[in-house]
Amino acid sequence: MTTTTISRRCFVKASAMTATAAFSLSLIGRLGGQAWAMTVKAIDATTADTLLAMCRRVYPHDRLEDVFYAACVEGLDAKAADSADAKKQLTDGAAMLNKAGSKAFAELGADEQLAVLKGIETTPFFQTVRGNMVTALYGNSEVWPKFGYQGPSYPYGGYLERGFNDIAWLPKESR
Amino acid sequence: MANFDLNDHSVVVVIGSGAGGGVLSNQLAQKGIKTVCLEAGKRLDFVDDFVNDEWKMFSMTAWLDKRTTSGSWRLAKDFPNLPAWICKTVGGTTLHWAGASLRFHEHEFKARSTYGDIQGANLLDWPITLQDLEPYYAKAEDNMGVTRTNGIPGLPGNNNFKVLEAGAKRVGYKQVHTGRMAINSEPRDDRNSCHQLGFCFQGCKMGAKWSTLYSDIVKAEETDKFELRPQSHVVKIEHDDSGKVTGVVYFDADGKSQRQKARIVCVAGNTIESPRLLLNSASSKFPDGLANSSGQVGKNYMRHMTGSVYAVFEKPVHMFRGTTMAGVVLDEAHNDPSRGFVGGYEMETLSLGLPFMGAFLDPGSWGPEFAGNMDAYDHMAGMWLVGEDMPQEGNAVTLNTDVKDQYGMPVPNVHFDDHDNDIAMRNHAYKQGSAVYDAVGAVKTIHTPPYPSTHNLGTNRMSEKPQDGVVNKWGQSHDIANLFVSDGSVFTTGGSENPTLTIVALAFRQADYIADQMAKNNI
Repeated sequence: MTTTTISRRCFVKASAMTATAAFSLSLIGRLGGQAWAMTVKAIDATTADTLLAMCRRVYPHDRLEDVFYAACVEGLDAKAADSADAKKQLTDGAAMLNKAGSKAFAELGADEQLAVLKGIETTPFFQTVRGNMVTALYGNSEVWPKFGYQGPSYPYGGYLERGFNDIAWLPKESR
Repeated sequence: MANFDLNDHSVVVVIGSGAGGGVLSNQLAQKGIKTVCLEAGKRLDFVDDFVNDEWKMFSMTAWLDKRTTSGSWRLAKDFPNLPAWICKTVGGTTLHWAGASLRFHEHEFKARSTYGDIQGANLLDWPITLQDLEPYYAKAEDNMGVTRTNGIPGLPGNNNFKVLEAGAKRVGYKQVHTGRMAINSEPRDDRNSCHQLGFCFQGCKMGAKWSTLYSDIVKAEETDKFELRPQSHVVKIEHDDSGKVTGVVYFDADGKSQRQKARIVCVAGNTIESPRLLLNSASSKFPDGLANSSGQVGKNYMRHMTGSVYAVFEKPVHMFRGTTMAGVVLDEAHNDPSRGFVGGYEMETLSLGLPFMGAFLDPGSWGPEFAGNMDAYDHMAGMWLVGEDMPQEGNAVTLNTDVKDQYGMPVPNVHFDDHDNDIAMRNHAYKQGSAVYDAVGAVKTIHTPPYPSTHNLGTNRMSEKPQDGVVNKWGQSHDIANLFVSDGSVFTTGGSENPTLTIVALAFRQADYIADQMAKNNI
């Protein structure tokens, strides 16, 4: 990997944690023509791949590249690194997903993935992944611009001079 | 700033530094009364410590000590350990509050007389009237710098307000404006003016929104009659053989147990912690807890009828830009039982940032529809619905003796079931809220369930008769003359308005009474 790639990865994942150990495992992907990597140290590659596919299906946003979902998997991996129970839950959960469909979960079509997840949505495994994701994904400051959310305003003096009342499409007259 | 001895039994101890405790402390100190304010949370600096980040500020300021829930409210399923979204920090929930400062209506002090005998509701008239409170509302508005009072201009409307206003006028609503807000529209009282940051819920980094943290507490510290002790978590109020309270036991920042003697104790820990403290202070003389001869301590828990409507439009709104709650529709705030419910409600602008929208738009939801709603984030406008809910004796804060906190004390359990009146009002409000946005071309409206409660009321209610409630019209315990309650838990009924202004007005009134009674040596 180039230095550029590494700094991009660290930047993107800054708010979702990353801990790279000597024995860490990297799954290489592409983002905007550049390589990026999902780095996990506790869970195995199959589990990580399966969770990545699951994360995209839980909160499916076409506007988001895989790297943002990979950051969610890294967050889960960190919990697995801290807790054998968490690691077992994620590993067993991924195995369950891989047995539930006609082939490995990551290789299923979107509709079938959704059906598989609907079937397990009340399990603690699903709730763990979804609960972690809701903060790891929407709380990731690198995700915010993709949704038009502008994040902290104080450093820019607020919106007083930056469009707090710039809406222009409302009907002019009340009937 | 003073330093009082732990054995100084001439001080007034105020427990809590928010809208009730912070204001009361300052008013007592200004009158020359020695006051020790014990605050469970840490002290933050609004310039240096506040950040425009929802989860970071939540973890820094929210009350996250263990709580449990029961009942049919959806929070018990979605957020079983977070029944309320209130603060543990110097300034209390005045860090988090949005600034909306409306007076109660006259009839809201007379809920039982006005609404009649509503089945399942434990309604009671307040022992005071609007006329009793008006002079203190005036003091509170001046103290907090409420817009549209005291010659203070209203705030300018942001994008979210403009959508609300246009829609409301199209459906025929008349009383629509940018609210009575305790947020400076121009510099006042050594506080800056609003720069439309958004992030009102995260603590105002401009200091434009009134908070006791950088207003009343600072003014009190300028006297030599006031001492603030942050990270001082009170676990027990003690009394003597005659039944008068003598002081409090608290854990300090180092986790060490301390005992502060007191002439008077004022409890202002908000509606969950205040009754919990009274119940946890049970003794052989008061086996059911302090101030609880009525059995009403912890009962009649109210949280306002709430809900939100978010609307998606074809074009962008950017609702998060600017003051979060500077927009109100007052046309549904009156009492008109022909709508199918008693009491009224307001519509107020509201926005959440992307992180909180993910967590609260439809808690627990996932999949393509939810993600599609999130995709529309910058095309959304939002409003909060807030109205009067019915007090019910079964809705209660009780001690959960199976679960202990970090000090070994039983945690509070919060039980809540909606009353039929609450449900009817919420359904009406959802429908009207959608109509407002539909009138200006909403593509879709989303009805969001109540958030963890921000308006927590009623668990130490005021009553004329001792058998009906916990405190008298001054917030003084019916049972123990030198024990007061000084927060929203004294509300006899909830009214429809955001409660902070009324809490502050009651604190001003209580300070006058305490000073008078001390001067007469009655307490």
